[in-house]
Amino acid sequence: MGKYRKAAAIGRSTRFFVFSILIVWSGSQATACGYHDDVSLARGLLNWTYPDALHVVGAISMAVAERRLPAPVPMRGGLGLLGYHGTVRALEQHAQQLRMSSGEMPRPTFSLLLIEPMLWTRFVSEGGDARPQVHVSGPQAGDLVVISGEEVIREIAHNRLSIGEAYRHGLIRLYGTEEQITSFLTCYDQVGSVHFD
Amino acid sequence: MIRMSSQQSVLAGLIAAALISPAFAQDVGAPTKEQLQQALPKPSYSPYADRDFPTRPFFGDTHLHTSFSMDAGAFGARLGPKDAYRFARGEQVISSTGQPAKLSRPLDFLVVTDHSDNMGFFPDLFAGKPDLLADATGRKWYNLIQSGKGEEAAIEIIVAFSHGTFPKDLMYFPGTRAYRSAWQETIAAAEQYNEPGRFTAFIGYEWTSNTGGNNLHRNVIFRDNGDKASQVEPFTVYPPYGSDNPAELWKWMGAYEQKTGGSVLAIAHNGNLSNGLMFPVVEAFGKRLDREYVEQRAKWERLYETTQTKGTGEAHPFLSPNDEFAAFEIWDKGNLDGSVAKKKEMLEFEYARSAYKNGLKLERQLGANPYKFGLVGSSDAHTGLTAMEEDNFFGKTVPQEPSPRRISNVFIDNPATGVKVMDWEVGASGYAAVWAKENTRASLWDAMQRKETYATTGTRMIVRFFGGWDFVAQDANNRLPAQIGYTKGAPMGGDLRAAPQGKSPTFLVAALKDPIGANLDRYQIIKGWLDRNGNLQEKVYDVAWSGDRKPGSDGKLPSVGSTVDVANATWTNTIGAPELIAVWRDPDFDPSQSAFYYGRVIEIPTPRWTAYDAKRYGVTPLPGTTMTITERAYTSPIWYTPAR
Repeated sequence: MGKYRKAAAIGRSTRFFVFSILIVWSGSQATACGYHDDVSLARGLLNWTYPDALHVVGAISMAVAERRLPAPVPMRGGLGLLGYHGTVRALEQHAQQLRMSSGEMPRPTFSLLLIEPMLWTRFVSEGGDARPQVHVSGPQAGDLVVISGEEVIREIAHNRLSIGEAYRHGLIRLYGTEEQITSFLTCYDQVGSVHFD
Repeated sequence: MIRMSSQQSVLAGLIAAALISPAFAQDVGAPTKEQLQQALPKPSYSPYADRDFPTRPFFGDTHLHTSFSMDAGAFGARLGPKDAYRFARGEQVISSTGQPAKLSRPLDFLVVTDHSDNMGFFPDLFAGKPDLLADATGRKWYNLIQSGKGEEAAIEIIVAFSHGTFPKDLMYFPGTRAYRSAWQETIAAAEQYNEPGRFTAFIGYEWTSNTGGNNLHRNVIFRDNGDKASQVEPFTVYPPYGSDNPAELWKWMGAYEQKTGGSVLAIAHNGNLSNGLMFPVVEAFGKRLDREYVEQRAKWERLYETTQTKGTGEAHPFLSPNDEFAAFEIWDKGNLDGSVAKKKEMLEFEYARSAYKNGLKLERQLGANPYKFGLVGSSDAHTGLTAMEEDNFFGKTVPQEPSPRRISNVFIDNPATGVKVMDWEVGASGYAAVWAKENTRASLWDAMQRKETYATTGTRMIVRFFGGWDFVAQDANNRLPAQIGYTKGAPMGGDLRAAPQGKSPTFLVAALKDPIGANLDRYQIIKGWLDRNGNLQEKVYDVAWSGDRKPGSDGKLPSVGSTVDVANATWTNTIGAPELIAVWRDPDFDPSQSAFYYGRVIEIPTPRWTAYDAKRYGVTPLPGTTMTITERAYTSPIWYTPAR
């Protein structure tokens, strides 16, 4: 929980920072409408940095509307569906799935972004392991970038949705070389559709 | 009051009636006999032959941002001006969050009004335009973005702006090649999609004065084509290129007209977020209001955007405690950025109705009324999507595009001031309705200029409002009420002058429901006046309503009721009326007192976008979330000015 508190505190202070900057910016001059925090800002920029990354939001929304994904439960503070603990638990469960899925194939290292809290997790391939590094600052150069949402990862972690299905429905978007994307899908396509425990 | 049956069918009369010259709507007093004879159709079999007047309202949006606006782009908007025009024309597009989007019906016109300061900066930065990459800092930001550190780049950009260290070569200000390029792109998009007779794509921009977080924004709309608009670059706010003082904007507008022979008008919006500065009565920008101020404002600011996503600003319940419909989609917590909380004493100078009232007083004091504006609604969406239908609402910003989370997300939260606004408080509003003869830039703009417009909160009901001295009850029986309206009076936005001896103003009002919308509850006339003691007064009159309801002892008409099934986001048109028409005479008229009258037409309750979202996504709204709405329209006023 300590880490979570720290993360939240960082988030808040950054939000205040950016918000105050926007206010200063608007203080004597023209500006945007001012209704933005750092998370929204980061999410918005993502749409340019990783073109159409926010299409994940639309895909998730449509899946929730069609009851293919559960609806999020509003949480005070807006810190996400499961809160940090729940999200970390799902990510670790997800890492366990990944470890057990790829067989003899080399696991690609990738960085996963959960788009609602803008939480980056790096899954580092080490030997036979896929070790999650939760709450990193971003991807490292050359990483495959995986963009998805909390509900999607939770459903995968609970073996109710496979990575391949999620990808084909736009619930996961991949940014990297063609080779990286192929490797990722080859390794993990079925993750989430099979119980490994 | 002379009230006619609300059930009379007046469809043909409303949308196809013969009208006379719209020139009568201008501030030129009553039409002359010669003008009337010239404009009236000659006798013929067809009652519509030779008519020369507006026969239908054109619906559109005078205020839409795209990715060319720095804030919209920074927060994920990928749709540019061309996408915005395509969508408004009725085409299906993919939103910035990847969702197919289409209007229930095409709109007739659109003004893309991106912020003039830094227009086009964001798309250019991400596209790696050579002008930007030639600068070391621009290249650094671009490289950060390319390496996945866009957030870091964005914060650097914002800090550079705020500290005044933004590289000069990267400034998107008038006179720079990059800025000119962005403006030309904006113009080119409008030129490409402007199709006279079918769809009007206006050239425009928003001048975004926001000192201290207090909203004094104006949208500038060109009557002209690109050949004239491209001779200038938009007026900005940042010094030394621009100014945050509206008076300087008016000077820029005058200079444009002088240079090009063209025409522009400005539309202010969100007085509710100005913290008492939008409609001053004593001073503005440190200078006492004088004759020049009131005349210039009246000249350039012919319209006011009274309803949009960030609240509706017709009236406030604190200012109009006897108006049970005043508390509608109100945003009264603070200024634009929430940096200063609202105080009650600010409200009088923020809302259209109180501005109309104070305008009467200023006219007496200074010889001109600065607040003699007509009304429109528009979206102010920052998504490139003018989607303001309750069941088809794409939000104000990209983070508010449809999702199961938006109903419970926070829009702004400033603990220092206590200003907190939730996403659910954002309104799916509104549109501008313009009574023009044809769907062209010139015709629509001229109608705006003469204020023959009304605001809607998203509905497309059809509303007529005529004032004159001689309307009689039988006029409401006519199948061509508009012909009578124009013949015997002035339309919305017009004037009544020189009351004939012994006569009171009469009004011919008519409204038709949106063909795919809700039935109508009532048609009201709001009157404001300056009484003999110099005090400002207001009163709301119900002049036509559905059913056989009778006003109570307090004069109030009982509620129309509600058929809304919130859980299923449905309603039925089993209450209300599809149309309303009546002739009303002011029972309290005093010819020595200046006054204004405007119409307000209210629909029966329907599900709000929040109800549609709750149903669609299976989410539970937060306590206190507004789930129903009574959509409405507000006409531009008709002013009565006593003979001097």
